[in-house]
Amino acid sequence: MNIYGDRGNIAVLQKRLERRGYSSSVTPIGAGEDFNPSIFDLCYLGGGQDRDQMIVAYDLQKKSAALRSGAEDGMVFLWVCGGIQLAGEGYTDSDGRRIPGVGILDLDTSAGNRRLIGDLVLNAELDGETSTLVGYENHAGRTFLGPDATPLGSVLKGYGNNGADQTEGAVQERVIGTYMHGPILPKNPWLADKLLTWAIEHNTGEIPALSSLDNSLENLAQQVAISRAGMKR
Amino acid sequence: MRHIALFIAKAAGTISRILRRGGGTSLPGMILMKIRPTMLREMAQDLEDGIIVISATNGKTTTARMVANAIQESETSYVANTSGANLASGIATALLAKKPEDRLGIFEVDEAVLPALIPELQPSVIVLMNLFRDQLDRYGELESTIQKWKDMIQSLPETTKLIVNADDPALGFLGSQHSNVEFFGIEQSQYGRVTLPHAADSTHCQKCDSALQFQQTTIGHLGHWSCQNCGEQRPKPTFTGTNINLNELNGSEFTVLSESNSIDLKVPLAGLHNVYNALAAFSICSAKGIKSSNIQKGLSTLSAAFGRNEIIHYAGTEMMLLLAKNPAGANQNLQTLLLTEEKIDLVISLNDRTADGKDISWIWDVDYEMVFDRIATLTISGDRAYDLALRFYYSDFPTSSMNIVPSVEGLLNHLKDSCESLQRVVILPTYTAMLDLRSQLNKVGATHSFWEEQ
Repeated sequence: MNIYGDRGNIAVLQKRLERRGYSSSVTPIGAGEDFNPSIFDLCYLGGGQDRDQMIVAYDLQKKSAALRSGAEDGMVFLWVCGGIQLAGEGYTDSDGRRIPGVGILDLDTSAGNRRLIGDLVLNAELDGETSTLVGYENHAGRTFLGPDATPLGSVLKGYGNNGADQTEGAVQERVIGTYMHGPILPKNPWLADKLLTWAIEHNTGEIPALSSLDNSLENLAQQVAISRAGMKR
Repeated sequence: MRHIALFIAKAAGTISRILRRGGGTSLPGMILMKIRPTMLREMAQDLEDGIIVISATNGKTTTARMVANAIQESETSYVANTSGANLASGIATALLAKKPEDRLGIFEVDEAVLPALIPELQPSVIVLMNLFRDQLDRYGELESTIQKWKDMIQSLPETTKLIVNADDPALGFLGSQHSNVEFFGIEQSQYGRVTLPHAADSTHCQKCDSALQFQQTTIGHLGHWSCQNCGEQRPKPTFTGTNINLNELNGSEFTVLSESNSIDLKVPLAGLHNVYNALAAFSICSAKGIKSSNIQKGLSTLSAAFGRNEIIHYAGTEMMLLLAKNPAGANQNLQTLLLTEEKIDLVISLNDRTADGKDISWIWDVDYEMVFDRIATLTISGDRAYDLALRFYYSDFPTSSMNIVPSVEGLLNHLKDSCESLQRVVILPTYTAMLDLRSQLNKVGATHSFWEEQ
């Protein structure tokens, strides 16, 4: 599940920690391997092809108790695309087959007729702060949120979760699911730092005051991406 | 009706060129297909020696040029879409320009439209070279293209010859399902690796879904693959590339081994990917009865297709253009740069228009780090230059050493201003960035319009 530039998200998280004097380690956990939530602060899951997603879904079922326990404990989750689908109750594919999710986000997804593809711009809100996020979406799934999940943001450009209700993504405690590729973190440093703040708090028990980094490149990239969103020929 | 349809479409091409709105390499065909959709099939039938179709994610244009050159040496008259317009409209346009003496058609075809065009063109030879992840926003998943090709192969008549790259796990398997098939592939080579690179796509068995084993990988997921679970494995190639010697950025030499023969080839374009291209071209020519001497001669006179290994002179500097539009292609270009000890003045230009792929996240799956210590200077350009800059920034490439010049005019000015200190300039553009660059260079007289090439 890493066909979509996902290692960019990991690189951003690690570098932004390093530049503030924190060290970090990344442990890939594959199918069949155990997941011990007590030793991790952040869990990332990227997007994949439908076929690979089926395999992952069944493996995640074996880890679902551990994942839910981690979520309850305040571990940070960023699950993208196929990840947001698997974080929910489940996914119903175009043949009507039901693929189970792990239930760390109150949402459900079914495959739509056509893929929702294009630039994605959101007005996101977390912890009372707002920010514009820009990226790209590419998904057949239509996701609808239940009462316990809040959207990550409202869609300014693009389809979002289902192309109908203008919501994108889902947040519950420290669990974030989203359809935003890009990858999502390089151009959206506010979100990266929010995740890191939560992860450090989970690790140390205290909310850190993260020093600000020079985001001029990120801001330029974000501005260009926003202005080009939906304008490409 | 037929002649009027042809006249209207041809006039559009002429007008397009006169108005300098591009080479008219697709517009006439587009018009033709609107007026008379059956024309494509009718024109295709007019070629007595049949049609060769070449499709792949990477390598179509170069391979088609290699084949065209060989056929030219054999003094057979042919028609081809050498400009690289590889959708239906581009092929229709090329067929419109067919001369009465043309007996053979050579067409590179976009991998997404291939299944729809096969019934129209009814080629005698179809060449399938590779499928890599590319433009996910346009093509969807790699799997869906593989499935479409699978269906296409299933409905092919036995008389259609398939020539397939055995080293591609998906294509090697699909090819074996057709009775009239020949394979090409590369033998164990010093340029092979024993691990899969990060950007490898086709890593699972098409038959049983298990993870494949690779004894060797060459480019992305191409290599010596086998499935321990169900026993499927790389088919034995009819044509094998051996004794490969990659000669830095100058080209390569290798030997094509077949059951009856051993032919030495010299390829004037750098990199292992061009060995694959030449091997494919050799296999095609062999199927069409072209003499090896003509293939060798054709290769020796080969000039690079625009943007692919092309050398351009500007501001007293030689610049090499290496088109890069997906992780496999970009990584392969970078691998090729590693063949030389020289420091490189690297220019990367990233656009996100329709023809480039609007979703630029693929740059995060390119292993730019592999050339970091070869970079003398780094210049970043294109619509999405800042995304590229971020890519390098997050791998700790110092921002103070980045020259960020998004516009093509800015890029050329920057190259002109620094020409004294430039040594070996290599430009890695995406498709429209390459077109923009060549267009701008053309304006200042540094290169020729791409549609004027023969």
